[in-house]
Amino acid sequence: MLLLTALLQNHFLPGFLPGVSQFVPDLVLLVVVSWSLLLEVRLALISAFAAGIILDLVSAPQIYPIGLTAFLFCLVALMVSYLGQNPFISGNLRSVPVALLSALVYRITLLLAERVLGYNNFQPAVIVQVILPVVVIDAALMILVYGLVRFLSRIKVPRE
Amino acid sequence: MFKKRYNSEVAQRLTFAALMLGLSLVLMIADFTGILRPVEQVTSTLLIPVENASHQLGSNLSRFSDFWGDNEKLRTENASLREDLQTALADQGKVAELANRVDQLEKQLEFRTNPENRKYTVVNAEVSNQDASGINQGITINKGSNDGINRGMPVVNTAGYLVGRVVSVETKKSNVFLVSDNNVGVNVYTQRYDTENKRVPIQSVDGTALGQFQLGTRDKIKIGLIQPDADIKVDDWVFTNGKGGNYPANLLIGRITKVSSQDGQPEKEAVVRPIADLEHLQEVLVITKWGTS
Repeated sequence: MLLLTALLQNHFLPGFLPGVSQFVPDLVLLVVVSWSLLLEVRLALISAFAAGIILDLVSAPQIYPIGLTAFLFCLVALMVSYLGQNPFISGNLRSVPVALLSALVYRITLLLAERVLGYNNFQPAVIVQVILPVVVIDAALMILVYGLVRFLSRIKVPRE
Repeated sequence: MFKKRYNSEVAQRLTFAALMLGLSLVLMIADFTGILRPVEQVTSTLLIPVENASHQLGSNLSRFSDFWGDNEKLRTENASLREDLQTALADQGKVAELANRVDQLEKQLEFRTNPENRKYTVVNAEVSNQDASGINQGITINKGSNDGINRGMPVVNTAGYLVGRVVSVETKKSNVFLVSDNNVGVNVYTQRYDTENKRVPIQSVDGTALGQFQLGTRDKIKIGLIQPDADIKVDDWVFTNGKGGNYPANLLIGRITKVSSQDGQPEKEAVVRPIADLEHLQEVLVITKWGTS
């Protein structure tokens, strides 16, 4: 599932939306956030780590070191796991603000990490024209992704 | 007792989180030192066909949906274009003049005929993907270190216009940052041509062209810190000057679309529109060797 989502995000959608590929949503991140809301924190961390490694391996262009996305996803999973326990943001629609915050944190920390790696992308134009629209798209898509992940997590293998 | 148990549980979770974060850091360090190179090569070799197939599927579906979705729009456009074509054909002289101008520009660029340019050794490559993060202006090409490509090599489109630079290389694919990316800087000079496409003898302006992130515009490069008295105007042409040895000299990059004063500084800055269509690159040439390399 993670590999398919990563391929969808990094290869299928940029090909399908050639003119607006900069607005491709962070589908793998949304899956990680969904799992973090649904699973126990240790399982969520393991899933986030695996998702990050897979995304690092299939990302294009591969300019980030392997492990960077895993690191950021683990941070997000930890944050979401604790946010999910907050009674003030509980309820069925909690996934949307959580996704919004997670996507923002992920994208900003990614920019900071790029800065550390020597790339100069931490610029107002990038934040306003790409990061914020993508964060909003992520939040809007979260309802679908969360519903799908929750549905799939409830499917149990029938016993023989 | 309940509180103690709760604290213990929290501590266990945090320890586990620290373990996962630490593991990620170890992987990053291992990747930097090159230990993971064989793993990357194996996974890359296995994944490339799947990645290419996914991208191809997306492209084909995009064309298919465009075809059906824009059918009516295309008919209207077609009718409009027919009218435009009639007008254009009526003005044969203008068309001939434009064609002549293009020929003359190509001659002036001397890309094909210049003995310096004949020294180029190039590798043809197809664009297999583009950056999906939206942060970097980058593409992936289907040639890598197996084809003699190294990091830092300049990349041009099939017409010879500079499009970017190789930033990372794997065995069978490479990643290229386009000239519109914030992290790509090119030493350039400007040149002016009159209405008859003759070179105007001016003191050409040297500078560094940097990519600038701007959506919704094709003006994606900026030359900053230009001397206030420099002779630079809109429509001047911008070429690589070869200084620094990172790019061959005299590769065409684009044309100046705006010259303005830098905020609060006496120096001027110029905005450049790349000649190459950076958003629809399908095939590129990687210059692996040139005159001075």
